[in-house]
Amino acid sequence: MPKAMNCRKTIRQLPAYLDDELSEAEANAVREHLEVCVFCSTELAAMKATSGMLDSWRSISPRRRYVDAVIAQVRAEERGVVERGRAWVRLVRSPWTVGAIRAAATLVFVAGALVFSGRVPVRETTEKMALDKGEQFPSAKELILLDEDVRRSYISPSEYWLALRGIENRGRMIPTFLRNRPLGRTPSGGFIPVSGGFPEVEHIYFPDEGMPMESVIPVESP
Amino acid sequence: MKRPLEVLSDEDAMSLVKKGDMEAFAELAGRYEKRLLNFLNRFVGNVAQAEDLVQATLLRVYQARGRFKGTGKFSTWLYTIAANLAKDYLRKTKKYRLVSLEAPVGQSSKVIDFCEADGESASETVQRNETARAVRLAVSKLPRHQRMAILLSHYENMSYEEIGKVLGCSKGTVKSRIFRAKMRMKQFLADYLAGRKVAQSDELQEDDTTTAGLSRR
Repeated sequence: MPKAMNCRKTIRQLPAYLDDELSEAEANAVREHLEVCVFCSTELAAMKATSGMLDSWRSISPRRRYVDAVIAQVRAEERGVVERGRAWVRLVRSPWTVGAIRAAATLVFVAGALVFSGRVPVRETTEKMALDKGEQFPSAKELILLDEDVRRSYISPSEYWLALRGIENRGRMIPTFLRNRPLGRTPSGGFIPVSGGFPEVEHIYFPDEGMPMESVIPVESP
Repeated sequence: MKRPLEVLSDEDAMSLVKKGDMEAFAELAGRYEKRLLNFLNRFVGNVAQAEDLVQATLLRVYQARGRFKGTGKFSTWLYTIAANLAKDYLRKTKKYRLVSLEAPVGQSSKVIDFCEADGESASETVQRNETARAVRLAVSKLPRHQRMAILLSHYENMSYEEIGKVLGCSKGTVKSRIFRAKMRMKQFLADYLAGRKVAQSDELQEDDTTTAGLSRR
């Protein structure tokens, strides 16, 4: 076998030779070659030096016991599952549940009958109040277009309408993080924070010509 | 009589973990926390991220405890989980989140990674820290599969066969990856340290000329 070929093969074996990962026969072949080849011996020395340099990257010590956090998480999850399980069983077995469902069904039936018979007028809902002002609701298609983050921060026209007037919307408040943000108006009349990156925003809407958002969006209740 | 946890083998401790024994789990985790932290830190190049990955690995071990059959070594199984989580992390971040070695390193890693060792003179420490810096950079430049192989081989003292099991490849592939990694590192370190020496000698020469200039005045 020509020497160049043998050197090439030997060099490929050197890391495994140093790591003691060669068979006896392979290790002997490498050893024999190294005895007569200065080039490969130099290469071996260089590889040993490289390995020696790797040792200079010392180990670091853990700053805390990581397992404690893991055990706490595991216990919390297990407790959560058990408690959820127990709560569910209690709820289903409770005689109050059956009674409450019956009462609710009766109430809905009676209320529906009264409304449809025209005896009781439809109560003004926030949605209706907003619709009366000519505002539209987002279509299902538009909501699908919004990505998950934006969808969560979407403010419906009615919510916005109420916010402008400082009316609490049945306990639902404009999220804190939306305060002081310019809002983009979507084609159907909804609003999203402009930083949400919704591409179909018609224009950036600063309510009441420069009125600070703080004053038009109510502060989130504690 | 129940044997103390400390004398149990990893695999025996794991069989207790499978029954939900948290003390055995803590004992096992304690044996590997430091090794995992270092392996992951060297792979992702970020101490804080490595710490998160250690926790994620331990959690995964507990959640998947039923899947450990006990036919192989626990350490191989553990490193397989850690390696997969680390690879996933790098894939998700889509770029190597490696600490820039040219820019000043963060206080924490500086304190932890570059410190004086016992019985070492100040100049030796400086020299070793400089080499360690070069090694970190060299490791960070390796392709992920080569980096993983060299870390498991050199720092975790795993055999090529074990590494093959962790990485899901043959012993021959591991051998080839380690060869390539070593060759790359050898070349990189030689160039890097030669460059540093040139830069240092240039600085010295500049200092000399400055001093000469000053003395002439």
